[in-house]
Amino acid sequence: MTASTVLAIALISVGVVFLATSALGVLRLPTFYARTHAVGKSETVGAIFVIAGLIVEHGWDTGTPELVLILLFAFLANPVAVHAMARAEHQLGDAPADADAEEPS
Amino acid sequence: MSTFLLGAAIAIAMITVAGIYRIAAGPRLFDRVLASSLVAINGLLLLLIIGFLLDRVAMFVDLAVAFALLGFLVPLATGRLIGGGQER
Repeated sequence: MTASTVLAIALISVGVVFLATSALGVLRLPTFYARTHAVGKSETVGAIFVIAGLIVEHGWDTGTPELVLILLFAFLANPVAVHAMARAEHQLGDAPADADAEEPS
Repeated sequence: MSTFLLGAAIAIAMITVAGIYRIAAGPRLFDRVLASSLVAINGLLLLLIIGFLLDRVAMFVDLAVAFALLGFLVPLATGRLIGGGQER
């Protein structure tokens, strides 16, 4: 078992843990705006770690830049998509619940 | 390594079931679209891992690129269409 295989296994394991956290958040968090955190952050980090592990496993090849581009796309696109959804939900008039707000008068 | 990748693929597939449950049960439209975004990214990762398992990385990377672009388009289009698209 070479060093790159160990590094790939470690990266993919960390990524799967982040993905599991994201799925747990989508299942259990109470409101829509809370669930956007699970999908927008944890899912992005998990995807980045898994793809980075696959890049390490793949080695240096002609297919490596394409995998790097997929990583960059996942890094850029997923928060943008989640932000677009949260913004549309806000435009529909559903205000996020504020935990520190005063009692409504 | 192949066994570990198979295990990771099975784990990601089981994780995706949570997103599919939220698509089915989510109380509002954007809950479903949000969960579909999660399912799209998990499907992208599954495609990549399946490509490594079958030793056909070049083909499956192209499939994953198409899948990622479509998965990015769905929430953007839904947000623009339903939310109106104007600045506030």
